[in-house]
Amino acid sequence: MQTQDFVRSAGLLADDEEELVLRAQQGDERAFVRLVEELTPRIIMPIISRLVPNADDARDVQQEVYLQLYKSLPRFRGHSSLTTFVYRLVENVCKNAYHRNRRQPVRFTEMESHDGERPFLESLADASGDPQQQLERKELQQAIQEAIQAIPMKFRTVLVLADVEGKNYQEIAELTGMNQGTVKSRLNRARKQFQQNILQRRELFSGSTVLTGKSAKCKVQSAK
Amino acid sequence: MKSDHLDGKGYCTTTMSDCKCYRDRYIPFIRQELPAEDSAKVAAHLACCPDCAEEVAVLRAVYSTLPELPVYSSPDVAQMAYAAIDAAKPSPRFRWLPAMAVASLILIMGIVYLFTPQHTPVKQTVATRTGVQPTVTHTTPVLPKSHERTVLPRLTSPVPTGKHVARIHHHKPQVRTVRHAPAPPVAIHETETASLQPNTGQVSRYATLLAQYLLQDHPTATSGREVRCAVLPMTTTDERETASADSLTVQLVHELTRRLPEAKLTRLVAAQEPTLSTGSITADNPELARLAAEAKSDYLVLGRFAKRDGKPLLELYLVNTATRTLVFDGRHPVCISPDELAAASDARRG
Repeated sequence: MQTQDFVRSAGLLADDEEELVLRAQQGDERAFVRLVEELTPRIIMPIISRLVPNADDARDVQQEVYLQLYKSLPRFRGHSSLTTFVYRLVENVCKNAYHRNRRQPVRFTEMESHDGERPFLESLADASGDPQQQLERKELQQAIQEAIQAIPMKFRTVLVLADVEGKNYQEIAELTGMNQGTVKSRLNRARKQFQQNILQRRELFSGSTVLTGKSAKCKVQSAK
Repeated sequence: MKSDHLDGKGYCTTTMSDCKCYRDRYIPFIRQELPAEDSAKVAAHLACCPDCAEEVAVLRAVYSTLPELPVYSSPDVAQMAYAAIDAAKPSPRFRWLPAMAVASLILIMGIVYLFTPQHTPVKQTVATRTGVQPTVTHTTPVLPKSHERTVLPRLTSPVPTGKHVARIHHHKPQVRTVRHAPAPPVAIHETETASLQPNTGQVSRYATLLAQYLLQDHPTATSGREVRCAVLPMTTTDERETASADSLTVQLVHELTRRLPEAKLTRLVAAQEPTLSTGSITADNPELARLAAEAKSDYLVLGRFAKRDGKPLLELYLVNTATRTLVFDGRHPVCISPDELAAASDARRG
């Protein structure tokens, strides 16, 4: 088949992913489920976790992403990487959910630990280290999450990709379809907004023992 | 630490405006994205500005935490994926919908086909003076035998009134339910004038009448013998009605063709414009005689738009060109019952 040949020759997919995509495109439901299981922890959930403010909405978005992926996968021709294809799909679904819920007050619910199985507080109890420090770290993460969610969506996605996911400009441009100049300008604005949001919550961080850097006591001369 | 930002006494020389300038560079500074020169300037500023140093410390802590931010767990990925697959498929409850829609369409088309006029028996409902409303149906163009009582539609005054209403229903196949046993049809001999509006429905109704009268006048028309019948264009004195008249003429030819399959109908365009728009059309009308001679047909059908009591009226006439008689008089159609017509025909033949 022409599509399959193109996808193979383009080398845009890992071997097992490529096979899964082709089988899913031919209607193999098990292949689709396996593909989703591969993509969810790697691409889908990290993005949803940064772009959707609460777990209930995130679950709805996740379900919608699977549905849209199932519908649109037959149209995947391998012109871009599967990661880009999935990222844009997830971003679109998140944006739609964002615009749908933008007038609702933002709710924050307890997130879960990175291992994905236990609630975050539960994981804290088992974690090694000072419980006080663990609790502070949890509060810090919560505050960071709020600061990220307070950024407008079109800037938030760039910030998440750059500063959370560690992508460079070129990768972000490829994922989002923007040119690098747009990526840079949006990232600058996103960081400025993020910094402002963080500093508005400075009291959460100022007393935290998580912070290691202590500001030097130096006399500041007034500009007067 | 010696810095350009410190004066000779060790005090910082940076100003608040400098802090604003440096603030946008703190995150790139933390992420080591600044050129070395810019990075050194920021570091020097931080060395003497405790507020900015604390701010950078907070940001540094935040950025060190970012990669560790928790993600939402999704333990039931497979279940949700299968749910998405099911949601993408059409619901089983509505899988029958396309088939049902096609079946309904076929059923509707069948009903429409069956009940179109050419397949529908013409039902005549006759009102009697007794108050009982019997329903009599028969199929055109076959007329009842002459010895039977024949019920012709009674054409009433322009505004149908009360029980003296006769109607021909072409599009209603179902027989109306009557409370009482149907009484024998009663022949009507009132000479009330017709109320035939010049519209397609009335032309259809007229065509039925004309066909009946023609067959009654010329029984051999059903025996395969060719009967030539010329239909003249309907005339009108109002130019605005010309298009309507032409349209109704075409329809009349079509309707008569359906009802008289053995007849050869021609739509005749007279060489000279007939002057039948006004005046009475009688058998001895010289214009009518001229047209009958020109038509070279057994029968001549002509119609005109007229007005009676200010209301539009369609008058149609059927002329036997051989006998120069008005077989159907559009002005007083109910004056001629088929019995009387048969008798008159016999008398003429005799």
